[in-house]
Amino acid sequence: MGWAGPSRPNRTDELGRLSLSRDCGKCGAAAVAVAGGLGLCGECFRAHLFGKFKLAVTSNAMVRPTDSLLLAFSGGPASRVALQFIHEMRSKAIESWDASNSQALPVFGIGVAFVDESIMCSKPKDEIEMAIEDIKSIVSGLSAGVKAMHIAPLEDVFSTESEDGEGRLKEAVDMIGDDTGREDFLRCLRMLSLQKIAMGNGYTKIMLGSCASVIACHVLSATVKGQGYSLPADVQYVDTRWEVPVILPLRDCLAQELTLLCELDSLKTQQYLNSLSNGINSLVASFIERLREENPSREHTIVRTAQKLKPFSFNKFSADGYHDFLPSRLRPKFQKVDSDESTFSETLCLICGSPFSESELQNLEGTKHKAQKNIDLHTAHCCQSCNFQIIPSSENLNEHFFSLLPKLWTKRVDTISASHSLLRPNLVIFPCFQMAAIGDPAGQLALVHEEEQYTSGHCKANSRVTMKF
Amino acid sequence: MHLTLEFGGGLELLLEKSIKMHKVDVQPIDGQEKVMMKGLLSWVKSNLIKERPEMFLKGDSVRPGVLVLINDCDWELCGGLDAELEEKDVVVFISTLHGVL
Repeated sequence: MGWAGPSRPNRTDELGRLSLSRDCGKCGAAAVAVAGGLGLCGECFRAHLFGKFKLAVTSNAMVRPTDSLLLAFSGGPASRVALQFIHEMRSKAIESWDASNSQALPVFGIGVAFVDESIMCSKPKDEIEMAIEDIKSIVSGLSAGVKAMHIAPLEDVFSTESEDGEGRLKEAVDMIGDDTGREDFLRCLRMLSLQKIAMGNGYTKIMLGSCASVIACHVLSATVKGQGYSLPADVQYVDTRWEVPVILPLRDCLAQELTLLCELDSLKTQQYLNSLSNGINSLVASFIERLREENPSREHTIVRTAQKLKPFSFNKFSADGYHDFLPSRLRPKFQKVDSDESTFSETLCLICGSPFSESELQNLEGTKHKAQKNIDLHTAHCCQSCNFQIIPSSENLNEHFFSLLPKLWTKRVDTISASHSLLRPNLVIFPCFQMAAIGDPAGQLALVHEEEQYTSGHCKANSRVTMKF
Repeated sequence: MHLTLEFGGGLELLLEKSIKMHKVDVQPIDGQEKVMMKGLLSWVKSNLIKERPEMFLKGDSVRPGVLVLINDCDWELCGGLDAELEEKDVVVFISTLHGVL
């Protein structure tokens, strides 16, 4: 990274840190934003972020011309930028299409989904309605290009033919004693809601605005929660373990950068419905904020380190359906069609979708052979982390809990248990990584990998997780 | 000195009636000729923040995770705490929340 010849020398402040030149490092205009250690003008800053987005989309072949994309919009800055950028990419694709001689290939379509979780927050009804109207107007404010907007109340995933979802959702959430467990449960329901919207409306991909900061938080909080085995599944560009595959094009952008872009470009956001976070997740977020004080690129460091863990087979698209559109330079990004890699063989947790580790698989196999009650089978289909922080501990309670859960989740147990065996003869056993995050006196954050048998949930005495402040 | 202050990303909840935009008149601290960012921060703490000041300030500066813009420019490029403010400047404070964005 070189300087494009700033016109005035850099000064150091009292702490000995280089203060930034006020000229854009790329074009020399007046700098307004800091990115990658460089001062950038508004245009170059915007181009910097759009460049990252576009690179993520193209180099991971995220969007095919025939795709119908559902953008998950939360109202916050990151998903607002994702909405803006994908809309722009589409507008440019339309222009090329208009201008091209052969219009054989179509241009992808975009829809927007907003999961309305207001039932879980205790704010005044009229203010909630205003916030949702705001969200609608933000989306409709984009010029034609978004074909539909879907607003789905979270409780809909709990609805059955006879019953309204609201009561069931609230009852289920009330049964979860752990603050973090409750938050994570709601997050899983959010994904289920998005999947339901996508499946019901013919979308082929779901685009999330998850940025580097959110992913860094997830890396550390998953480590703390003992979810080290499944962690790589959640932090890649592509996640195809769901009915509708999920893509994360903003994975390389920081929350701070995205917030700044919204401000500079007057991209309206609506965050009134955000709820306060109380548990491990917010503690980790505060920790990362403090790390940023010393070095703004900490979040990138964390994500880069987590990238060293081997992703799962479902973190790549299968080549089916891509033949016609796939340039040869992108083929390595896809699962090999002729190898076992392309058959999806992972068992996933009923609730959070985490791939099962060896011990969880063995537990499940064992339970299937001797299960007396359905409840044993249900808990065995959940990962150890969900068993620890979400599922009520007493047997009476947990049977009732499962009866409340969305049928989209629990019906899977009945179909799976009725059929095939889980272990293939050539099953590859993935080593389980626990990561110890250590901040040393020099301020270097190092993530150290240790191979260890996956043992249990949160921070038990023998778990090798330490965070030094 | 007349300034326009804006609060966003949730910071407005710390202010009276969650009002986001404030037109204020700030005097330099005794002895000083100009209003510096440092002085503005303590003025905001005393006059605008109604609750949980630790969500906005840490020591002399803003809490980590709070973005500060002076006239649409990152304050790091304007001198940070030592930035000198001028009449009619617009200062924006935004919290960059983690979680689902």
